[in-house]
Amino acid sequence: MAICLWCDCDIVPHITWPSLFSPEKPTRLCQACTYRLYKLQGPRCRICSRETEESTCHDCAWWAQYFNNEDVLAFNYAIYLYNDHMKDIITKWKYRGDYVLGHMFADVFYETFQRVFSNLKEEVLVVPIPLSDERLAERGFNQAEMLAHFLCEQPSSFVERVQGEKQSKKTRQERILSKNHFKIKKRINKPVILVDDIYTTGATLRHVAVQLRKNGCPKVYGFTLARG
Amino acid sequence: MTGYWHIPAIAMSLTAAFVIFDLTWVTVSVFMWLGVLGVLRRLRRTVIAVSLVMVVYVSFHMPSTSSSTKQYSPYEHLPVEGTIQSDVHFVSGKISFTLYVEKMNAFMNVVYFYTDDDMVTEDMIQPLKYGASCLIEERPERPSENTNPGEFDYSSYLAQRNIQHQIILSSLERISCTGSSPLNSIFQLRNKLVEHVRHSVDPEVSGWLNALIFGDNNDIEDPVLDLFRRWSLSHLLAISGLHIGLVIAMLYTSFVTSNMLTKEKTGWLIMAILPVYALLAGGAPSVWRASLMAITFLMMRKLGSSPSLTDVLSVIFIVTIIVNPYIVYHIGFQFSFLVTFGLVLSKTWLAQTFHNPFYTLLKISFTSQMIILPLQITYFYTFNPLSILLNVVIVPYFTFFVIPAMFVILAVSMFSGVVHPLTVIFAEVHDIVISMVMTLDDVLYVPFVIGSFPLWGAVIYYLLFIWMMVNMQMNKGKQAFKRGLAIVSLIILVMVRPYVSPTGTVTMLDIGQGDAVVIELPYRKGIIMIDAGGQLLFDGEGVSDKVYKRMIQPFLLSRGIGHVDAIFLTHEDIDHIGSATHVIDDFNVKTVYISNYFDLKHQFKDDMMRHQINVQRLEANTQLQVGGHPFLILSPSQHWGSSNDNSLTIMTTFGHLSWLFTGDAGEEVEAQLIDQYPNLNVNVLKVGHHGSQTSSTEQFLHTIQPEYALISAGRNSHYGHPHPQVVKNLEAISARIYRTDVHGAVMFHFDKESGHFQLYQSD
Repeated sequence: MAICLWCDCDIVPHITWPSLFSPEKPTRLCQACTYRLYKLQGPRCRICSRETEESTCHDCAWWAQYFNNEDVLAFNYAIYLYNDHMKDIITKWKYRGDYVLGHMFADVFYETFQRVFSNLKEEVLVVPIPLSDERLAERGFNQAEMLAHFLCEQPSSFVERVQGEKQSKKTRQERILSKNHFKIKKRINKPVILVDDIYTTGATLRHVAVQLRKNGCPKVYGFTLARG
Repeated sequence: MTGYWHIPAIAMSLTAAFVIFDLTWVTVSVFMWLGVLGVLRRLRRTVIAVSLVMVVYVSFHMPSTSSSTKQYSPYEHLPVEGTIQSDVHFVSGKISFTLYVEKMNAFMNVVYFYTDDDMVTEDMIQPLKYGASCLIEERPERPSENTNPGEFDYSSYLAQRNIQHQIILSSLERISCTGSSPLNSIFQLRNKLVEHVRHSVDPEVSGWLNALIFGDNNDIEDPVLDLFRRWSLSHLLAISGLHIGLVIAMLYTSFVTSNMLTKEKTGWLIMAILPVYALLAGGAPSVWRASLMAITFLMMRKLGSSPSLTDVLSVIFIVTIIVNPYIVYHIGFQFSFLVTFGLVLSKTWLAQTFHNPFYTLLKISFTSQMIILPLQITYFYTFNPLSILLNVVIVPYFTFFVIPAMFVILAVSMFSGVVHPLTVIFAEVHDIVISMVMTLDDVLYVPFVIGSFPLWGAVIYYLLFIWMMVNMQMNKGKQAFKRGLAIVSLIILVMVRPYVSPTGTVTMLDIGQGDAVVIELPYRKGIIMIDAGGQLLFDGEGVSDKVYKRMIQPFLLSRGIGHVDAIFLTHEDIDHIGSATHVIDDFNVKTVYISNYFDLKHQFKDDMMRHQINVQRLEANTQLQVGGHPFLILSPSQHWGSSNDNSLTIMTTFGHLSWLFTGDAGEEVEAQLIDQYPNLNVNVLKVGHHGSQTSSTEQFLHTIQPEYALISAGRNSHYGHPHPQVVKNLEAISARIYRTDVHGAVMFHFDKESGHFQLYQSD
C-alpha cells in the first residue's frame, strides 16, 4: 500500500466512473494533501503564469520595457501557486534536505512539460538553474536539477553560477538589480528551457536568459514548479 | 490490494456474465484488460493475480441453470430423508420450504397447498422448523417448465437456486420432522413478530409494517405491489441500505443521545444487532449486503483505518459469490449490488451538488434506474421513464416518514391504546400519498414497452452509460447529453426492430383449457388477438387473473407489444374471453369484434366504454381489414341458439396459407360452412372447440382438407379434449397436428412468401 509522502497516511485510491476500468497511476500524495496544492488555472499572464485577467501582468510589462520591448524570456510556465502548503513542502525538500519529497512532483512535472512544450518543433535543451558550489555542498543536491531529471535523462550543464548570496534573502529591488552571477561555458544555437522550483520576480531566470542570448541562444523559456 | 478490490470483482462479474450467456471465450477480453493494466503499471501484480484466480474460479464454478442431469431415480426408496434448509414460509393456502437431501446432495422445494385453514393445525406445522430432520412419504418430481414465450419459468427459477426437484405434499401426514437448528429461534421470532403485528396493528398499516421492517410483503395487496413495480418503487419494499441506515441512525440516537451508552459501546452493539436484524428482516441479499457493509465499516473504523467504499462492496460481493455461486441469478442480488456500485462510483459526481438536495436525489434516482435498465427490461419488458422523477419524491417520503413511523408503531404496538390513534394518523397520510400515486398511474403511466433486450444492446448500453457517467462527473454536460441521446436512440432502435421486420408471427398460446391467439403482422402493421381466455376460480364464481398474469400479459410485453389493434372475441365463454377485460385495462385496445349474437354483459360493456373501445358486431360474409390485413367472417349467419355455435368463424391468410378459426362452433355450423362454401380451401385449421367431439366431423375435415390442425387444449383436461376420435379423423386426412397440451405455445413465423411452424416444447 502506498503512503503519502507528505502526511504519511495510507493512500486509498478513490474509484469513480473515470477510473472504473483503468485505475489512475498510483500517486505519491494523498488526496487531502493534493487538494491543498493549488494548481494555477483560468486566465493567466502569458509571460509569467501569474493568475490574472490581463494578458500580460504589470511586472512582465515592466520587464518588457526594461529589455526595450524584447523580453529575454519568451515565457515561463508554472504549475502551482506558491501557497503556504507549497512553501512548507519546498522548505522541507530544499532547505532541510528531504530529497525524496521531490518525487511527488515527478509525474505532474513531466506530464505538464509534455503538454506545454510538445509543440516546440526544434530540439530544445533542458537546463536547470545551477547552484554555486558552496550552496550545493551545503544542501547536498540541486532541486532544479532534480526537477530537470524528471524531464530528460541528461539535462545540459553549460550554465555556471559564479557565486552568489541566496536570492530568497533579498528584497525584490535587490534581486532585480543585483549583478549577474551566471556564466555560459559554450555557445548555444538551440532554444533552451530553464527549469527551476519557483518563479518569484523572474530575475534569476532572466539573468540566465540574458547570458544565454548573448551566447547565441535563439529563444529562452522557463518552466517552474511554482509561481510566487 | 487496498483500493483495488473492485478489479477482481469486475473481472468476476464479467466472467460470470460471459459464462451465463454461453460466451465463455469472451473471457479472453478480461485477460487482455488485466494484461494491459499490468503492462501500463496501473495495477500491482497481486491485484492481477487475485483477479485471475477469481476469473478462473468463476469460469469453472459458475453453476449452469439448465435443468441439470441430476435425475431423481423413480426406483429410489421412500421416504425421502432430509433437513429443512430454509425459513418455513406460511402464506395463505401454501406452506413451503427448501429441503436438503444429503444422500443425493440435492436441494428440493417442498410445498403443501391447502384450501381450508382447518386442514392445518398448530401441531401439524409446529415440527416444521429450520434445521429439522424430516421423513417424507411423497415422490419428488421435476418442477414444471414454462410452455409459452415470456412465461415465468418455474423450473429454471428453481434451478437458479440449485433446486432440481420439488415435492408436492398431498397431506401434512406424509411428513414427519424432528429437531431444529439454533437459527430456527430467530426465524420463529420473525414469524411471531409478523403475527403479532397482524393482530395488534390495524390491517391497512400492518401490511406495510411487516413489509418495511420484516421484509414480508404478503399482506400488501397485489394492485399496490404492481403499482410499485410499474413505478420502479419496489426497491423501497426490499429491505436494503436505506432501511439499514435508518436502523443504525435510530439505534445510535437512542443510545448515544440519551447517554445510555458510549459511542464506542453503541458501535459494538450495532455490530451485534445487525446480523440478527438481517435474519429477522428475511435475509434477502439486499439486507445482507447492506448489513455486512455497515458492519465492515464499523469494524474497520474500530481498527483505525478508513476503507474505501468500493473495496468494502467488492469484497462482500466476492465473498458472497464464493459462498453461494447461485446467488448471481438472484434478481435482488443483481439489482442491489449493481445500484450500490453505481452510486458508490458516482460519489464525486453526487458531492458536486451537495448544496442542492433535490438535484442530488434526482441524480441518485437517475443513476439507480439507469444502471439496471437492461436487467429491468429483461425481467419486466417495460421501462417507465417518469419513475425516475417519482422516486425523487417518494424515496424521501419513505425515508423520513413511512419507515420511521413503522418503527414507532412497532415499538408502541404492545399498547393498544396508543397504537390505534397513531396508525389512524399514519393511514390517513399514507392513503393520500398512495392514492396520489394511483391517480398518477392512471394519467401518466406511459411505459416504453420494449420487449426482450438483446445482448448486443446491453453491451452497447453499458459502454454508453459508463461513458456518459464519466462525462457527467467531469462536468462535460454537452458530451454527456450526446451519450444520453445515443442511449435513447439505442433503446428506440431495440424497440423498432419489429416495425422493420418483414416477418410476422401467429402464436397460439398454451393457456390450458381455453383460447388465446396473438397475430403480429409483418412490419408491425397490426396486432390482432383472437380470443383471450381465462380460467374460472375454484369456487366457480368469477374469473381468476392467473392465465392473464402468467401467460397472456408476459407474452405480449415480451414481444414489445403495448397496444392491440383488434381483438376478435369468438363467443362469450370464459375460456375465450376471461382475460379480455385485463387486456383492455392494460393494453391500448382499439377495436373489439364480436358476433351479432354475442351476449355482451353490462360490466364488460362498461369496461369497454370506459376505455373508449370501438365495439363492432359482425355477421357472416363481412370482410374487414386490420392493419391492411384482410379477414373474412364466414359465420354466424343466424342465431344458432347456443353460444358455441354462435362463434365468429374467421378466415384469413398468413404466409400463403389460408387459416380458418372456428371458435367453438359445432357440427351444424361446420355443415353449413361446407354447404355455403363448397370450395373452401383451408391449409391451417384452428380445430373447433378444443378438439371436442362436437366439432370437426369427418365430413367437414374431409371437405376442407387442412394440412395443419392446431388444437388448444389443457393438459389432463377433464373435458377429455382433444377427443381421440377427432385426432383419428385428423390423422385420417394426414393433417399435421400441433396441440398446446403437447407442444406448448404453437408459433407460425411468416413473411410475404411463406412461413414455418415453431413449437415451444418440441421434443
